Parts: sequence; structure tokens; C-alpha cells
Amino acid sequence: MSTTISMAELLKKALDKASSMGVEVTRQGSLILNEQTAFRLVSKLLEELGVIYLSIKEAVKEYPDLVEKYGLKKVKIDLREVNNGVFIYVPKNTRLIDPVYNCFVLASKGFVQKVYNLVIVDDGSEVVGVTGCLSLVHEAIHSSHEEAYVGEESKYYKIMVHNWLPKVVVSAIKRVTLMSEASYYDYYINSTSLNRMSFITDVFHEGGRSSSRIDQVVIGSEKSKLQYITTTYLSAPGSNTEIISRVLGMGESYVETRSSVVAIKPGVRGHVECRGLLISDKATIAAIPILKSGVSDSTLTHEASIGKIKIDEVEYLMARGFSEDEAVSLIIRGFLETGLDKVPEKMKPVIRATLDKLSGAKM
Amino acid sequence: MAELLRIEGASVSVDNAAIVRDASLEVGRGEIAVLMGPNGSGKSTLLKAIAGLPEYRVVSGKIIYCGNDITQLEPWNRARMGIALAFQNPPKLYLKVGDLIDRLSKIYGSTDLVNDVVKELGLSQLINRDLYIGFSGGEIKRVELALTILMKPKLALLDEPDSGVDVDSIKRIAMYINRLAEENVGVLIVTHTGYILRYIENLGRGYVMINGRIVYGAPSYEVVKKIMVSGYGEFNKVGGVN
Repeated sequence: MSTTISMAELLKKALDKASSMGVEVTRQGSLILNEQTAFRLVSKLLEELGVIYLSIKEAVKEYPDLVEKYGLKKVKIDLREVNNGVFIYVPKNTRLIDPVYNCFVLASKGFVQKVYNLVIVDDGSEVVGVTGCLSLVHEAIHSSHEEAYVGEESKYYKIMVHNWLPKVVVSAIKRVTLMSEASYYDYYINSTSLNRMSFITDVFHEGGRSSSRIDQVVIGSEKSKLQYITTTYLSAPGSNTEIISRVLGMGESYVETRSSVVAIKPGVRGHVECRGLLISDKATIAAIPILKSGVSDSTLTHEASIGKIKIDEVEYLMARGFSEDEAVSLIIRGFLETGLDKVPEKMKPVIRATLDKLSGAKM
Repeated sequence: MAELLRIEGASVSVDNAAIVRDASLEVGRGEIAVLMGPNGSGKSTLLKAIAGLPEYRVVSGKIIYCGNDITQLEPWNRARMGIALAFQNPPKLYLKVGDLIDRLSKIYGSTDLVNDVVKELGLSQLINRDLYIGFSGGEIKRVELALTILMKPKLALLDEPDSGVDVDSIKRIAMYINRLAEENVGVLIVTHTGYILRYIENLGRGYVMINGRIVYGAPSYEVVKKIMVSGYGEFNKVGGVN
């Protein structure tokens, strides 16, 4: 007997799952179910501030000049092949306090979701973008391209939560351009297993004294094969970057974090930290920091380690009154907690709850 | 002085190697007892065995605490019964100091103590840092003592609280030890230099451990005096107290 799920039921299921991931699109944002924008709520405040928040297809028609000026600069795709995406334009000197949420949902078996997002944070502005990607079906593909332009003295916080299912395949490319004194903070967490993932993030520091920090929290579970290739190009003097990855290796997963800093102009600083914690003997972690520099006046550093939980760490916490299971959970919880101090206040409880759930450290 | 801890002829093995042999000692409620001995004599092993760490196995003898035989009890149960160990060399952990303080103060009902302890032990700058990663010796000792206090112990086991610590920090740590004893907490200090003892107000019993054996027991001031005069070499010739 086959069961047919109505669109309304599917939407409810997707909204509930998004909400459980902290992606509260019903506060302000949109939810894209396969190729359809199934839900969108734009607050009055956003409209009053002149923020443009549309699907990418609407933006191409209504704001071709903005799409032309900022879009498809670092990403080469044919927009006709894209089936949806989000366009956000934050005008000059506009600081958005509440996050803008987006959620991409795979809802049909075999569906190939092709996404292009364009985010423009004009000079002197600030925005927190929260993106959730999830699947309601086991076999589907998500392919996304995202481009972000962060203008002079602007701040863009990007929080991304992935919650897939074991047979899903994902390919994601994110390219961010930073102008003078712009800052970009990227927090990524993947909490579930999937078939394969390739995630490329490139950050281009084109303006002087721009800064970026990327925190990646990756849980490799079951038979997932996950590859994260992250590169920041320090092309302007005085710019700085940090790339931090924390990988938990469980099941028979393979996780590779290849994090590079490229110093192109003098007076730049970069740091890469790749750390892995192996929970399973059958899991593999490849932690690869790469530093490239052709300029003498640059400071690039890296740290990398892969290890297991040590008995003395567990015993230490047991002597403080935690059971063995609680001690292990606490160690995992602590290991995964990176960059939380940089996450915008409104998102901290959500991230904390996610980390608690992942580590089982809810004590 | 009412009995709090009594160790009866305990032998402790680590990885099947006998480290402590037939050790006996006592600590009373509100007493500050001292266990001295050269490096590698087995002092820390004995403290970890009292705390019940699984790697430190009591192969014979007994540990009696508050009148109960706790020799086979799990470490977390001992901790929750009031035995707190401040480690000499605690492991480095990706765990925020503030997070651990928060969790411990909730478990042990000591949230009202947190502000004072953090302030008085000068921990404000350390709260958002990962436990012991990049900490100085003094910072480690102060955090260890703070965590021990927040466990509201009946018995505090302090492993080398004065090693690698500047004079001001030693005085501050000693002040807290004195305060613990005033609150009827039994304290067992392990030290090989005895440096901190000059700031302790009422020393109780003292023991000397050499090569895994407790070879001398007397009032602490006598033990300290003997060591200051003759060093540890003399104790190899002294008959044990066991």
C-alpha cells in the first residue's frame, strides 16, 4: 500500500526538521522544497530597510543590474540550469540584527536540486545568514553554488547546518569576496551521515585589512565520504584569516579537510588548524593544512593533529564525579566546540544544543 | 580528631607493576596531613588510588572512608561522596574552564561559591579558555584548587599544590587550604619540597614515602624538620611505620 504525502504535510515535516536544526525560517526567511519556494516570510523591517530578499529567478528579472554587477563573478554556471536559490541584497549602512534564514530541502527520491545563491552585503552593513540543508528522502542530490560579496567595512556571518540522510550526495561551492576592512565569519556543522560530500569554500581577500574566520565542525558517521576543501586568498595587505576544522571520525567514515591559506600580498597573517578525533577504528580522517606564500612579509602558521580519546582524560573527569560515558561525552563536546564565541548571540543556544545532542553531553 | 580516611596496608599496581606497597595512613576531619617523599616514590599513585582511578588498582589492603570500605567503588561515586583530587599534571582538554565550573557547581550545589572562588583565585581571564591548554604552572594549580573547592569535598587530596607556582600564588593556595580545614574538610597534601607547608596554619600528621613504602610517620612539623635537616636519604635507614 503506498502512502501519498500532501504538499502541506511535506512542508510541515520540513519546517519541523528545519526548526529542530535551529533554522527558524518562520521567523524570517524561506524554505525551498526541491525546486519550489514553499515558504517565505520577509519581515516588514527588512522591507523598510530596503533589503531585497527574493528567489534568484525573481532577482534576475527584477534586479538584473545587481545580479549582473555582483553575480557569477567567481562562480561559473548557467543560471538556466539552476532550479532555485536565494538572492539577498543588504543596502549600504544597514545592520540587520535578526538572522535571515534559508532552508533547502530534498523532498523527492531521485531529485537533483541545483541551487545558486547570491548574497550582497553592501558597504558598512552587517547581516547574519543562517542556511540549513536537509533531506526528507534517502536518495537525492543537492548541488549548490553560492557567491557572497562583502563590501567595505561590512560584516557577514554565515551559519550553515547540514542534516542529510545516508544515501544523499552533495556538492557545494561557496565563494566569498571581501572588500577593504570587511569581515566574514563562517560556522559550519554537519551532524549526520550521507553518501558523499564535496564542499569547496574559497574566500578572496580583495580589500586591505579584511578578515575571515571559518570554523568547520564535521561528524563523519556510518560510511560517509566527506571532503572539505577550503582556501583563503590573502590578496590585500593587512588581511588575515583563520581556518579551523574539528572532525569526529565515527563508523566507517572518511573525512578529509584540506585547508589552505595563500599569501599573495605582504603584511598578511593566516592560521590553519585541522584536528581530528577518532572514535572508531574503522574511520579515517585526513587533516591537511596547506600554507602557500611567495611574499616574505607574511605570517602563516598551522597546527594539525589526529588522535583518540586518552584514558587519562577520561579518568580526570571521572575523578571529578562524571561517569565514564559522561566523561567521554564531555570530551567530545569540548572537542567539537570551536568558534562558539564568534557565533552571533542569537545562534549560540542553537549551536550549543546541537553540540550537546551530537555528543550526548546533555547533563 | 574524628577519622575520615584510613588506608590499611594498601598495595597499588599500575599496568601490573607494583608502585605502592603495604601503605597505611590516616587523615581526620579538619586535619591537614602531609605525605612527603622524593620524586617517583609513589605519592601521586597513592592519591590516585584513593580517588579510585581505574588504572591505579588496589591489589591488597583497604581504603576506608567515612567508616565505609570504598576500595572497589568507582571514582565518580567517590567524588560524589566527597573525595576530590587536585591533580599535579592534569591532562589538557578541549573543554572550557567556565563550562566545567558550571557543570561541577550544579552537580555539587556550589553555584553560590563560584563568583568568590573565581575572583579570589584570579581565574577570570581563564574562564573562556580550554582546560590547561597553554596554561602556566600557577594557573593550573589555581584552577585545580578551584575545581576541588567547587566539589565541596569532605576530603581534599592535593597533589603537589606548590610545584611550579610563584610565591603569591602559593600563599593564595595555602589560604584556601587553611580555610578548607577550618570548614572541617580533611586535607592530604602531597609535596616533595614542603615549600607550601610554611604557610599552613595547623599541620596534622606527616608521612614519608620512599620507593612505594611509607617509611616514617610523625607529626608533620617533625617530618618536615627531619627532611630539611637530612633530606630523604636518611629515611632509607629508618624502619617503616607499617
